[in-house]
Amino acid sequence: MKKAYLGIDIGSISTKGVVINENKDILASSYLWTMGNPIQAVKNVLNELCEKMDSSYTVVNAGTTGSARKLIGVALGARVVKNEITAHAVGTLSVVPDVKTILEIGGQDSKIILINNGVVMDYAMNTLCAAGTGSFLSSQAKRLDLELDSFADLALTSNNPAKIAARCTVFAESDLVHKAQIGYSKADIVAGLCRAVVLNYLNNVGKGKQIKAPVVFQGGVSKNAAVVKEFEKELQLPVHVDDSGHLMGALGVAVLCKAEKEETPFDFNITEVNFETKGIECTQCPNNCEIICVLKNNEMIDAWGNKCERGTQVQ
Amino acid sequence: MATPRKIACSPKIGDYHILTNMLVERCLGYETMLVPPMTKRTLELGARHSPDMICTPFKKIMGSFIEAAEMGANVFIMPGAGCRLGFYDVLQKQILSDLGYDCELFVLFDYFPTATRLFKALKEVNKDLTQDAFDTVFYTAAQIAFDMDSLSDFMRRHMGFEVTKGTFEKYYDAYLKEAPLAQNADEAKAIGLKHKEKLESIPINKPKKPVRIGMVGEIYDLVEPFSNCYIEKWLAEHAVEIVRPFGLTSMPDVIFNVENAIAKSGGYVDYNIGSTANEVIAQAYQMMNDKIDGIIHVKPASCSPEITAMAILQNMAQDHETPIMYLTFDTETGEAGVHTRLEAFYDMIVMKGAF
Repeated sequence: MKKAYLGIDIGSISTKGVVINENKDILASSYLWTMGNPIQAVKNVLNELCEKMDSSYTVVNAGTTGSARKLIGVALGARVVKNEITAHAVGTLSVVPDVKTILEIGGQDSKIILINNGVVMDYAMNTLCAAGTGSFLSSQAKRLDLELDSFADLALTSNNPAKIAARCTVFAESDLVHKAQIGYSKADIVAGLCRAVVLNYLNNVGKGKQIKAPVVFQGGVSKNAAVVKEFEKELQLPVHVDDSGHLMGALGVAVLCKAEKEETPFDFNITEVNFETKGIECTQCPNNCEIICVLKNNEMIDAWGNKCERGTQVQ
Repeated sequence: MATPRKIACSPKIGDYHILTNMLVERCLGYETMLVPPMTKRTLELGARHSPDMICTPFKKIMGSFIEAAEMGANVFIMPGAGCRLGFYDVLQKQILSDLGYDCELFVLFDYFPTATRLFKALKEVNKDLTQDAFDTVFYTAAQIAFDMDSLSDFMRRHMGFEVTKGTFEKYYDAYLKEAPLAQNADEAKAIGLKHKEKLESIPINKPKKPVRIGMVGEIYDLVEPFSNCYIEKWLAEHAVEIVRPFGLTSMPDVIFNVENAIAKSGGYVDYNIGSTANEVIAQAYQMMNDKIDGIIHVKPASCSPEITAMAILQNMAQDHETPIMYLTFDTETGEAGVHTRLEAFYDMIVMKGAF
């Protein structure tokens, strides 16, 4: 039996899965939209991975990361349930061992990870505000009636990016409308937006951090060549975007699974199991804890969210 | 018409309300009550009735006061002093009165927290209060404050390694229950000593070189666990030694000894940057020189002294190669986000391989 390890990254926008062997080579990968239904998205990812994978391998450990990591971790009986920051760092290090800076802009959050000699030294993540993340770009693309794919191409044609306020999404949007109304071309506005995302990121997330080469840029927004170009211009450093950059979180948990001493064999038949989640609001006190119950074939396997003993009665 | 019974309450800032309630009970003869435990409703009420751009502790305390007023409280105790905190009471009284609550705001200090000023403030309300009677209460409360800070500091350093989970919290709660029974400083001291021995006797399993994480920042978010999404509890569950020297008894230094804090900041700051920020810089500098593994800086949204401190901490952290994480708490802060960041910070420290 050849051993394999499964990592799944369930983000707000997309769900990613990889299977690796003992040499950390990727045997199969999958990248699908979450579309507001993480459980179904994971089932689809698992089906795709199962088809692509060589049947001589057996998955001996599974792990999850991303914002739905807890829910999916429970449903799959994952051995590793890890935050996105650690997962991304571990995944990237296994591909680019000498990386010093990881820039990451996802659908809803953005982070920076600083690495020295293969060890994470510092990190930061956006806090109160989602300005300058992927969801901002996609909502602005919609406003301008552009497909996300053509967005970057159009931005790259501009020689005169419009100056757009970068501090806050709301101001950026009113600025964008203003620039359009006074006659800037769509290309200049789109290029200005890409630049605003970069400046926002560097001012909020990268604030005060020393960004050193090699720089790796990940997350959905890294697929936007215009944003990459703006980063290079601003940092005066080459910015590396890997084709499999979107898989680094999933790869990271798979690598962490490999490092586990114990094994919990994983069965792909889980896609046929019926999982249901129920959100209950506890009414025992005014805190109204939101209790999440996970049901596997109508049987409760786990619940969380209550902060005191009173909540257990509600479950 | 008879004057209504006076029922006083203090805001919940860590466990220090037991001290302010004691002062008011014994020096003014008021009845006291505890504000109800903070819940989402407290935050919603506070946010709805406070100015939007005010610092977050105001909103949390406002929500608590409204809930207490609903339950019959009519005297609200505020410490005064400090930063914008010194002006909270005026606005709180206005908001409570707009909501139809006829109430008094009792401010312990007008800017400088000295025993003399406290006596003056109490004497104004209760003409019969003697200096002797006040001194007895004041020194009892002061003794309890010192014991609370030293016992809880011991607890933070060891609770992550207790053999039976929850023992430290249980023992410390027992101290908090017994301490207010003391009638004078000697009794308070004896109670403190008794519970110190008890805490020290709790079996622990502490490695020689545990993960040590320092906590600095604005005092309300540091000492009030509901406010900071129970960071210290999370750290203790992950076997971390928590170094947090800040407490109520640090406040006299913060206000009267700014020069000392500046002298201890290794040249990173050379003038008064306001409120607790000077002390935060000095403590962080000390921690970094003690080779702490990481520092967490906490502050409420829109706290200007701590925003100033952050820029200085960033330089210090870079020079000392000490990771530092900044967390800002608002009435909308979600626990999941805080715990994700805590876990990543913890993983980073552990993966450096020294443990």
